[in-house]
Amino acid sequence: MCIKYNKWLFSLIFVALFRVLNAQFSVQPHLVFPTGYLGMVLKKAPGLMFGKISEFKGSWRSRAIGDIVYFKPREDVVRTYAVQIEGSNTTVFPGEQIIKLYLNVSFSFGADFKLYDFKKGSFYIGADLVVGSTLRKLEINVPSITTGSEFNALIFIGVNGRAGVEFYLGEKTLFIDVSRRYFLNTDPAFLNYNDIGLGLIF
Amino acid sequence: MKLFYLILILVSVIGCRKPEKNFEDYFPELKVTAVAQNNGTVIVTGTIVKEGAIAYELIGFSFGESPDTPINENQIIVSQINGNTFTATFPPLFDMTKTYYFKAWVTNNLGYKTSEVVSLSNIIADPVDGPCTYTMDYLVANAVVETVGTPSSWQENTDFDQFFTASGSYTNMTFTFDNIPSTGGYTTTQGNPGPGEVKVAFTNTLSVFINTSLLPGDSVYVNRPTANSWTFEICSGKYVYNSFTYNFVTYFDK
Repeated sequence: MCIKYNKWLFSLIFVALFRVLNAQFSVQPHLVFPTGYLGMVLKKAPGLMFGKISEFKGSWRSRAIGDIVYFKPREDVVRTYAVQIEGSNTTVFPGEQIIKLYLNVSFSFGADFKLYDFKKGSFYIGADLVVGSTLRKLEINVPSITTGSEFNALIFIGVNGRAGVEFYLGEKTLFIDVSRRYFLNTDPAFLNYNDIGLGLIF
Repeated sequence: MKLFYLILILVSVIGCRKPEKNFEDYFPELKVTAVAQNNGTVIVTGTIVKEGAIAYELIGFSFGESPDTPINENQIIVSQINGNTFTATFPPLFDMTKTYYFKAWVTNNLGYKTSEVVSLSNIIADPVDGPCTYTMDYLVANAVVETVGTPSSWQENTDFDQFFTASGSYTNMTFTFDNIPSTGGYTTTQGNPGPGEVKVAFTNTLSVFINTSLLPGDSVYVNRPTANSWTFEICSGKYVYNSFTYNFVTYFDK
């Protein structure tokens, strides 16, 4: 996918970066539940988010987060196939596909909105704009049709919706949030997924 | 802004689709039966025992001489399913001395899956008779009746076709099949024979040297009563010589 220069998009990213520049660090191990097409192919996967989250000013705060998720396939070898059409003859050729690498690296920029304060914490919801890359290596073998491996660095853009709760522990904040990520690309290589994570702001 | 977030969360929840516990559950579970018919064909019937979690794309059958024969061998793609069953007929191209393994298969956007295989052996068709009265071991070419001598053994040529020769006093015939034939009707061709086809080439040296093959589309009736015996009958084979079309008739056993 080719992302053209977009003044609005880059302004938004710039503002988000500026706002979180002096924010606190955060780290959040999380567990990803792939859904949709690739949820059928890939296992639940661990990931690590790290970045900066600002303090709430009123009901709002901003965040800039890096994320890396390493996926493993559900099947070591997937029975794939190729369809050959010659004139009016169609033939299905059997083959195998092995996912050797499926790594998501992304950066998200967004905001949280505080819904409710309680004595030692608060509930919040949030949303992000996500950009990143899926690093994917496949080995495909369909005898007499194609054999070989391919490596792709696929660029994606998406959105992330989030709901969470956080607890104030002195100067640190412990938080748990659940989120769902949608990719706006149409390539089926991209993952929509649900996510749960436990993080610390320090 | 709150409304925006609420919509976002709502869309997120609606978009969830929990993956199936077992990868195989995405594919239909298939069962296949195969029944040999009197004409040497085999009717295969597939049943979708259990639907897959996602829609199938293509469905069909294949067979081979090994249980592990890949699905592109001897493949039929079925275009219509009635309820949860689908069926196809394989033409009478089976060697009575061999065992064949049949399977159904299905594809979806995750891959493909096959059924268990079923096997059939000793597939023999009822004898076929051409619409002519014959005399044993004779041929008529170039208006001369000849007695057919002992045919050669089967040979394999560079295209892996199977052929043999049989000769009269003036005529030398070569029958080429894509494989050793079984009982059934075969159609003449002048190119490399495919399944169900035979190339009948001959030379005749009676008055002038004729070297040609029978025109396409005529019938050759083959019977294979035992594993190592055949009869061949041509009632009205055609060939062209000097712009005239002539008839070619033969019957002999091998």
